[in-house]
Amino acid sequence: MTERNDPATLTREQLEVMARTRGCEFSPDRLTAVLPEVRRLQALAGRLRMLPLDDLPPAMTFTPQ
Amino acid sequence: MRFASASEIAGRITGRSVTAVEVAETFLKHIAVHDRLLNSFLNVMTDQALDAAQRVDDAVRAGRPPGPLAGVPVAVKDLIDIAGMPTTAGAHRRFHTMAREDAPVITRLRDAGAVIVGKTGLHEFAYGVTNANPHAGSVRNPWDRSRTPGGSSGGSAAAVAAGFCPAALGSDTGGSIRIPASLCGITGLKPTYGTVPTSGVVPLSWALDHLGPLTRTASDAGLVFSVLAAIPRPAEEIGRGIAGLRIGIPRHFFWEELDPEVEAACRQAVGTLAAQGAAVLDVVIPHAQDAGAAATLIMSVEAAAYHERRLREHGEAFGEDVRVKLDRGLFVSAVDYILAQRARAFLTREFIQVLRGTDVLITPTTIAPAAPLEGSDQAASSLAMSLEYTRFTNPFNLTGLPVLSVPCGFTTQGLPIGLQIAGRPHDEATVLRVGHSYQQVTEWHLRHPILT
Repeated sequence: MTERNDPATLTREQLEVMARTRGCEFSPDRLTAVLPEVRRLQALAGRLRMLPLDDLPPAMTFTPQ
Repeated sequence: MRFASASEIAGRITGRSVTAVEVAETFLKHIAVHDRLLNSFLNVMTDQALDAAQRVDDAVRAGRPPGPLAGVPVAVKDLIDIAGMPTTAGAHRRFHTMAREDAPVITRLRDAGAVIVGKTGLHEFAYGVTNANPHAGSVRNPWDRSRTPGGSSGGSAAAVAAGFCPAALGSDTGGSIRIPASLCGITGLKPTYGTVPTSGVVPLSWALDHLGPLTRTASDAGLVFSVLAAIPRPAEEIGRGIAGLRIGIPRHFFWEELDPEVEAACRQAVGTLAAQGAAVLDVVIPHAQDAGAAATLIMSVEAAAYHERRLREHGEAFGEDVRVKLDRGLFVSAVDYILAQRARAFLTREFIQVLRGTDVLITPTTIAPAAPLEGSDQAASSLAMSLEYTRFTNPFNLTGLPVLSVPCGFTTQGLPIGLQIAGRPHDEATVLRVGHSYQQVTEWHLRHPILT
């Protein structure tokens, strides 16, 4: 596995590929509109990767009822 | 009457100095005359409110207990189901639903004797903080009608501030009770996660959604919260005073980048609490600045998941700012969503660790007062304002802690400023105690706007 690219360099073409992979159809205008926010969310995830999470599980529980 | 507290109104009705029908008529008339200036209501339930008020009066006359909210007019954010009424969620009419039954919180309000007067406006699908709504029209701030009331529970906050009702229900996923409470100069409580049922409510993010009251006083917030959560009202605890209580001021992040007038008012409020005998300590929450990142990722994904089909089939029916926020969630990987949930566990542990050494944390509610409405309907502006106004509020959605916002001053332009008081899980009593104590020696919460 290679290191992720800098979110700020995510291109509209790459975003289009991501959309298709997820089974979504986005017009060029919609891709342009959402690109800054996708970059921002990827940057936020990058910040969270720096936290000392160790083996901590996610804050999600399931209780069969 | 119009600016009386819920407790006072219930007391006067139960004591028969006024009838519930008289109270309902007074408030309904005020709404009919003045709400055209604010657009806080989407649906005023005149007939149903008068019927409910009559039932309260019948109970009082018959000597039956009318409930702790006897005859109190309450407004409800229009993403909460009321039987027989449309639930619009502030969205395009294509997405409106007709509620077949009351949400549990509505049943609890009715059983407590409350008189529901109508459904209030919100930011579309609760996914924003401006309450600039392309489908229902913008709600206006009663203190300055050229400004936003904040959101997403802007209609509920404006209604209480304007004296249309002494209490209203809101929802809070990133700050949507506390932000409008702060910007409209009233009190708002986001309780501990999970204490108030959210079924029968249009969700935004299941992991972060909370329901709670917007009121004129901390005492009223405690009264309404006890009804919503079906728990005893902590009235005695709230009135204990705060001598010896430890107030933590989380330096770094929470007190940075503030509007100077907001900072001055909030620091003065801390001084007022210290003068009442509270011990003020500086504390540090080492990774507080990362809480917003985790909250944003979780909300983005869950909101997109809830609306995925609507986006595919009717994407054009969303306002542009909400559509961009929903679309972005579709691009977050499952691994990144789990990362955010792991960060949530880590950060919650960190906040609670700090609260072992202090009883409450105090911060400003927002970094700035109400922004102008003009331009706030533009997507870029709406997105930027979401980032700005949720800065100090969404960490407490992430960690699920109970938080109260109380008014603590006004800017030189006459715009309200709010103070946020956060506590340990399920310790609403201490949070309300601090808010009540502050309101015993200040008058910010007694001020109200003049509507002309």
